[in-house]
Amino acid sequence: MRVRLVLGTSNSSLGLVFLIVASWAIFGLGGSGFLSSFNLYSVGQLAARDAVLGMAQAALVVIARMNLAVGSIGAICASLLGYLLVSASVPLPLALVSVCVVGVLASLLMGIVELRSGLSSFIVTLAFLSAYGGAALLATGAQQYEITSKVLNRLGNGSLFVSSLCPLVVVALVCGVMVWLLYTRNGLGWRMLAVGSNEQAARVSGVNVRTVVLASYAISGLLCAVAAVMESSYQLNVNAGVGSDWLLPSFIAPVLGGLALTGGDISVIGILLAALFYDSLQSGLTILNVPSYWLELAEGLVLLVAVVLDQFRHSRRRSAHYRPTEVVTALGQEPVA
Amino acid sequence: MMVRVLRAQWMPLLGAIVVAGIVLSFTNKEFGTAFNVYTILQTAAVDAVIGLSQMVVLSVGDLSLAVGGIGGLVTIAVGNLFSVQHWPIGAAIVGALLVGLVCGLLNGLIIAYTGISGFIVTLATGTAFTGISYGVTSTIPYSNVSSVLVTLGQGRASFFPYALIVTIVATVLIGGALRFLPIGREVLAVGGNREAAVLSGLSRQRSVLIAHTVSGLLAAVAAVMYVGVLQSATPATGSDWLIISFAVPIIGGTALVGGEASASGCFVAAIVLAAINDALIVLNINTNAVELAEGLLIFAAVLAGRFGQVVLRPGQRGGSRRGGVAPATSDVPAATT
Amino acid sequence: MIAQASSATNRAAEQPSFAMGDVWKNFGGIVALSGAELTLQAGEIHALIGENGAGKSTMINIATGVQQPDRGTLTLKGEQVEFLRPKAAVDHGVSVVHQERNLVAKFSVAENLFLGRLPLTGGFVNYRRMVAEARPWLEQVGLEIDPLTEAGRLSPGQAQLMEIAKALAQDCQVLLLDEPTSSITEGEFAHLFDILRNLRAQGASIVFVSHKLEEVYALCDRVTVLRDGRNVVTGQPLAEVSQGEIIHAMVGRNIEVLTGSARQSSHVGGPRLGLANVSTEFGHVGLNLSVHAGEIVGLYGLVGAGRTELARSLVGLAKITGGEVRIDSQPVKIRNPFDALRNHRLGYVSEDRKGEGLILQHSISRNVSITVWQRVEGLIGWLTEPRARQLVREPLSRLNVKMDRLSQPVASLSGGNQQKVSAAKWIAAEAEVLIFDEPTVGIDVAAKDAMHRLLRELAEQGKAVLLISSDLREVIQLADRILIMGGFRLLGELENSGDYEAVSREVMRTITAAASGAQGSLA
Repeated sequence: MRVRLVLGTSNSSLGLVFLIVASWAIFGLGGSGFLSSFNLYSVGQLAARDAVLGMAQAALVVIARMNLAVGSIGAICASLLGYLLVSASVPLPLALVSVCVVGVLASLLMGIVELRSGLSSFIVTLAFLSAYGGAALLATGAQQYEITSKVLNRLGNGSLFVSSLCPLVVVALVCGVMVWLLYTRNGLGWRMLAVGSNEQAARVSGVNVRTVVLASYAISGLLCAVAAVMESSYQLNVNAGVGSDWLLPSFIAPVLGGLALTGGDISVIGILLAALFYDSLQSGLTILNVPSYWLELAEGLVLLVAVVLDQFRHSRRRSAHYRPTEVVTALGQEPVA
Repeated sequence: MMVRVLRAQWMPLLGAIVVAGIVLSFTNKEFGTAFNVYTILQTAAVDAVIGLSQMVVLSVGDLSLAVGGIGGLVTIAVGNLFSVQHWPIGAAIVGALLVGLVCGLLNGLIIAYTGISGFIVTLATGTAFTGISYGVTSTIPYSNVSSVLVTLGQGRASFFPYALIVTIVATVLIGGALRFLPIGREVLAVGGNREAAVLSGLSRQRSVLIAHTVSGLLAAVAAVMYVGVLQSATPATGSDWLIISFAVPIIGGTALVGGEASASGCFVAAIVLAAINDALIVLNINTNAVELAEGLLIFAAVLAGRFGQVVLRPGQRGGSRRGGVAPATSDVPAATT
Repeated sequence: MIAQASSATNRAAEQPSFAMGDVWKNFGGIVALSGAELTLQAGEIHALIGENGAGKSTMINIATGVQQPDRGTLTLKGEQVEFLRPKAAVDHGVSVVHQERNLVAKFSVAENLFLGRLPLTGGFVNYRRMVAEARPWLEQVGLEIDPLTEAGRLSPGQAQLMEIAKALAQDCQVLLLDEPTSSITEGEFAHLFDILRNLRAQGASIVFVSHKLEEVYALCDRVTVLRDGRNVVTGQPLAEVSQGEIIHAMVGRNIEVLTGSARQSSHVGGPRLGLANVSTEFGHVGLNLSVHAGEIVGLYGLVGAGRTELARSLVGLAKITGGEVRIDSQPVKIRNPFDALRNHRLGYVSEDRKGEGLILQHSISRNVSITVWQRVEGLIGWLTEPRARQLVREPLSRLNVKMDRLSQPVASLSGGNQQKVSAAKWIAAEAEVLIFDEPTVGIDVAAKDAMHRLLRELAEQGKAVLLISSDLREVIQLADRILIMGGFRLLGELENSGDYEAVSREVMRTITAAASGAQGSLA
């Protein structure tokens, strides 16, 4: 059941498709310019970044953990990119590679701390949220970098084939394909799903849980770096403030996309569609002249509704799941004699 | 009682800070002035109440990411009620506190009766509340702030800020409630060992509801104080409360997993953090280092707490039947029925 | 409700203090209890015995209001009652002390005693009264500690006494104790027995759940034995039942005699797996055993003997604290199951098949291939279902797993087939040394037969098999040598002649001898 979700044929993906079509229809019918190539372009731009961000969070949610520091890692990566390109005049390819490496290492450090200390990922990544955020500010002194790289500019603001398609969408799709391949066609991905579904069973079956955890952190960090580069490519003005608003979107895409917060499954299609829907919604509201100040409320409500619906959907499935043997269960669990 | 205070976890920390502070006040003329001490205590006054707001939720074994959002909403409530609706300041404050209480109640109802983890629910509602704040004000702060509030927030007697009175009262009330009210003991019991508590007839739903409601009220108190401190009711209030809300209780000895809370510890920890912040400024060290320092302090506090557990817990003969390896659980508090 | 007792007891005419009659309980298809019953008299200590899966925990949960029976009655002093939640049971005087501690660690002992019923003055908690009211209860159980001590700092034995004090403070007439001596010291349980005898003298009804027969005989008056959710022995005075009869009642399987004769063992060479003076973090000390290629070594013992703990330590899930573990006569340090499998070809089929043996949400092929993904992974870990399935079909057909498709989730299989899948992955892994932990508990006859055939085949193929089982008949049918374990020690070892009567007598004698050795100190 869960394994099939990876192919995205779950109910939630179909539901998302419907929601996207419906919202595009509703917003577009207003004659308001929602369906204009200019607007669709910007939706694609934002959705691409949110999709990658969602994948960064999903990498840890899959193994039953969470990454609260996605934004701070993004801040480090964006500031580093700005510094390398603007102050150090490093050629673009080298800068991109460096940023990705730093993202991986920063996240890997969190993973090492989690494994060594035995603390929960919540507290570890919370502490690093603060530490890395502060480090980024400290290193850059809140300086702004204006990125002049033409390549990056074209990536973030140019168009591909059609004027409504931002190249960043392709980047997101490529990431999506790679993540999909990881979890469906790769031993490491399979092990991650196993660890997320039942860490102890995976351990007893000979899976090296340590390696799996570290790899997941590394992937999360890498995707944070990619998201930072994406944002830098369309903002073109970066500082250590990048990522300060990443926490919520990083959860919206996975949750809306059907991932269980308890781990063990992933739907790449779901994440991509969820990001698209979420940004369509935001854009649509803006087009309808809803002041941008109300958009944050919409974000919160969307997540809340998604979570509540998900709870009812999963609680039906959950009753079919095994619960560990316990002598005393006061909360309706089922002991076996 | 006095002995218990001396043996409190934060004693060594406080001692170290007092010593460091005294030293600093001799070497740096600015640090030891009444005004500087007042500045420290003023910041600490608000931070301590923010910490209490989270502490109450931690006590029941849950987390709230909505403390900042509630803070922002209450801020604009008091601003709006006073400067737009022209309510007398007393009524405006009461109205604003009620807003905070209702927000907390809402969180509590959703969490207690749907069983969804507090983390994701408050992530969503916190964002929604912030969204409402921004929406209503269009991000424009209210600058007409009642002089009563300003006196509360900025008034002082030499080094003693009037705001600290509110903090002391709140600390005593909350600490007292957790210790002497049956509902307070119920909250801590549910947080400490939910099964044992439920088997003894205590109610998880009731505890969670009360905890979140009181948390909302406390966040509201902090917000009202802060309006006076800042002399402005801005919807941006609360945006940086997340880290503080966790750092203060954790450093002050409240357990992240529930069942153990220290109101007095929050008080001391808030002073410590404010003092460190201030020292960094006075010493002309980069203020961005504060975030970094907070992150590291959280780590140190949690690790120190765990170390204490490992040292103090008596060993068991024979170990458990289950082979000594705890069943793995998701870091995202799983939904519970 | 008439109690079932022999005429030797003159209590036969007395009304039972608490009775559970014709109790049925079903969990989504798994029958935990089918018409079980338990009848208690005032002023007795009643032993409740049964192996894992027999239904004891469910009986206790129903008696204490944690769960409700599908069918059946609860009667308290002749009146029918219903316990819809735990508090109802406590209010009616039925209390329980569980095997695992159930206390709020950061609260004081006194507060744990009065959890949910704190003494109040004017609405505020009165700590002074709490301490004062706690003292007499603590004294009654002989717990000489400051009532303000943090409960988390108590030793397991002290904590247990605290929970008993709590039950007493709740005015209990019926006290259920679940495996109370599993984690306390010998000194502590002599003391515990005194307390229980005092309670009995005061007229309370005590249910003593234990697998330690020496304690049961030292302490209890009557015994009820459950097996597979039913009563095998109901309320018999212990004076009229022998230990052997109880063990037989516990472990005998009420099914047809399994086909297949005892094995002819043929092993050559040195031991594949050897333990020399091994001790573990659980308290095993000085264990010596060996398993050769082509051999099945049965590790028999009653529940709580320490066999599973040993297996887990061997495979790296818990710590070996002393001695040497040897694979092919070379000393090794196995750090985790990953190490065990990759470097030493050692596999462990867990007794907890749903929690550890399987990933229930995953498909059959995923579950079986998990141990061998690294073998079929291409460069950079490229892995597809067809590749994984290559290695999966053979073990599954060998075990005759009944399924619709390989992609079916394991949760949808029957218990027997689930167990087969759990074992299949180690077959696929081609482990050379295999530890099977209770492989046939809770599965149907046909599946059991398939597992037995598998074990024999594995031995014939030259694997070294360590079979942990509480089914003596099974052990005698399959094993070349039988090791007997009890109390985390090896009690004895014997060659298996295949003669069920002779061997089982010898095994029981060993166990009972070890038990009476302990019994002397308890009378």
